[in-house]
Amino acid sequence: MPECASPLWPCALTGAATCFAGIEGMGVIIHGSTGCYFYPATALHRPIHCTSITGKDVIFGAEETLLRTVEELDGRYGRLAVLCSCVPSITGEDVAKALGDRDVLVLESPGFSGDFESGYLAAAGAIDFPGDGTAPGINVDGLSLLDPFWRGNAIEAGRLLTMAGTAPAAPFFCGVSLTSSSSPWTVGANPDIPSGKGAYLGMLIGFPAMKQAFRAIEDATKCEGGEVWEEIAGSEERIDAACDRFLRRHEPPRAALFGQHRTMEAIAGMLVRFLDADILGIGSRNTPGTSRFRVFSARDYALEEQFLEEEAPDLVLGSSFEQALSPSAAFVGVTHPIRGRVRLTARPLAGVQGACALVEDVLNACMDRESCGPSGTAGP
Amino acid sequence: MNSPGNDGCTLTGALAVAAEVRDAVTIIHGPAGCAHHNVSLLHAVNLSRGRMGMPRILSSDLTEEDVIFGGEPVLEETIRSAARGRPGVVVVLSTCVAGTIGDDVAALCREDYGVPVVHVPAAGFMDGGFHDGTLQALIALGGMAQKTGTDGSVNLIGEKSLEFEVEEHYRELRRLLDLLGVQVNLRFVHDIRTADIGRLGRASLNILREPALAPAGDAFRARFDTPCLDTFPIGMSGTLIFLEKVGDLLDRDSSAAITYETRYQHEVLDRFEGLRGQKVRLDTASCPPGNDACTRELLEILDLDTGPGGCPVPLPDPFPVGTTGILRLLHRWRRCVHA
Repeated sequence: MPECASPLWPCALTGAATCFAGIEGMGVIIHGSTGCYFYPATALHRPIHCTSITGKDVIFGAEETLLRTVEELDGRYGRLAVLCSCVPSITGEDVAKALGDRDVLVLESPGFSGDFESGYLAAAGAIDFPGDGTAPGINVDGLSLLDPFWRGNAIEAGRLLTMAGTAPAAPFFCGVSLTSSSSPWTVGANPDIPSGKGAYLGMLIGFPAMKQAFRAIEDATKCEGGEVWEEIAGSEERIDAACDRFLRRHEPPRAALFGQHRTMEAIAGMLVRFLDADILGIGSRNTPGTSRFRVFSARDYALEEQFLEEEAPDLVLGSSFEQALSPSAAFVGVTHPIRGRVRLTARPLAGVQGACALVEDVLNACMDRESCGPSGTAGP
Repeated sequence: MNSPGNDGCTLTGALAVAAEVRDAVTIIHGPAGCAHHNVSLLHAVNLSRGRMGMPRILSSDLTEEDVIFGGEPVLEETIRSAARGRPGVVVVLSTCVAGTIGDDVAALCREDYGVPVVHVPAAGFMDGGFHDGTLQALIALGGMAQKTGTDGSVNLIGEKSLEFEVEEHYRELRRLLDLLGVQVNLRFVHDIRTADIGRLGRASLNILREPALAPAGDAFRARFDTPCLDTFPIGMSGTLIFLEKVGDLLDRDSSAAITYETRYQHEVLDRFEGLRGQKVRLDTASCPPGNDACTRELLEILDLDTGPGGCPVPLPDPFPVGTTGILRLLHRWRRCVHA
């Protein structure tokens, strides 16, 4: 079966646009049709631009259209990035040649070449910052404008790093500036989209990983992270107590998770650690790595529907796609898109507050489901 | 600069129509990313309306290899796969990529698959924009219906299914048509089944969502002899004119309906007496000409003062339907004035 039913995850072009649109001072031009523009423009809530090529451009070449767009944006940004979508990639335009000696970053990111992560990582690898490795503190990466938790994750990472006696440095890639200096070290708020900038000291999702990351930070920076250790220990205790109380009256949840693989793996680990949850499977939006759990590719709505019908989990963590497919399960939103609810707070998924918020949502959703019937939902 | 305006992709426009046929399978012949963009949009729209299910959409999932060697084999296989589920109709939408590599989608759709297969050219930039996609899909699906006798009812043609207030607009239209004693035969195309398309020719009048859908109105006039009204009721006087025109076209006396609606409009305006004379500021730059006239009419009726320094108030595009649409708009304006 060659087809994919209702694909659930964006393409490489959106991934690349997400990375570049999060850099302050960077102007992003999508070299393609308006259709390629509208999704990232609406999903990322950042001004991006498009050459809006037409059939005429395909026949006679779109170089002139691109040059016109670049010239009209001249002076409005510190630097421009041109992302080539499917059509210019197929027609084989020599975009770099057309742009001559202009300081424009050109990236081939046709949607058919891969998934969101491949585009994001290609963009991250294509850009350098002048002060790489010279700033104090610790960079925070894994920040993506498409991630409903990016703002909360950035705030929480900054809070924890400050408690650990250091400070947040460059935020890759939400709010980092073209002229930013970055630190030689990096921690990750989302392990599925590492920036490749600085030495990676670990990720901030789940307590074991967090502890490992802060030990590495202490070793690297020689800071004493006393306060952060108290914060971690105190929060673990509170989560333990809440989960223990839950298990006195309820069965552990039978959970299915959907999202980027490494992130979901860490969350599944927390559900097992605190709730003795039965992990029925992880549906991975991106290419999965090795896992202690059952992992399958989850980019096809019909295949997910089949899995959820067969396994009938009582707890689903994922996007509102999965929420729609599992109306009888308790639901917690952890993956883009989370539609159909109002979200105003900067809720984290990473860090101590992220762990507390996640477990809080899981427990409330499970209890609501049992007390109100199978319609309990929660989310940011 | 070729900056995109409010017009989106042809594919999205066509899919907004095709996805409203509940028992259809829509195939997007292109890379999975093109389908995801639209699936995500439809998912958001459905949730905002309390619909948990998703329309059946397949992507032929073109890869780099298909781009090099041609996408026709995977499309044919995808159509056959869709047809095996015996849907009411398979709607095939081509994308920029399919258009650029030169796949003959129309020829593939003419083959026999045991179920109706309708091709809608929607090759992104190559076939226009969002509006063109909508028109192409309406006309292509309308081609499935045959001419029948008429029954005095109306069809609603080209409701904006992605619009947040689509159901509110429909309810207002129903209220106004009820004043005339007129039934809605078919919402073409909104939440229908393939078999319903057969009723398209039964109505005595087609009411277009907006004048830009005139080519669809013309196509259905030529096919079914159905006269056509070019817009939903927009604006205070526009709503009264709408009642009069529908009455005329259906040979019904509209005077009682117009009297009732005029009284209702006065009641609505009385509720916003406190707005009279307030200073407001409108973003008229993005306002289509039709909306501009409706807005100016409202500003004059309420004696609102416009200009710099006024309180910014929203100017929706499209303008809300009927008198009740204006009632909701005035609540939004009053909220801003209170701020």
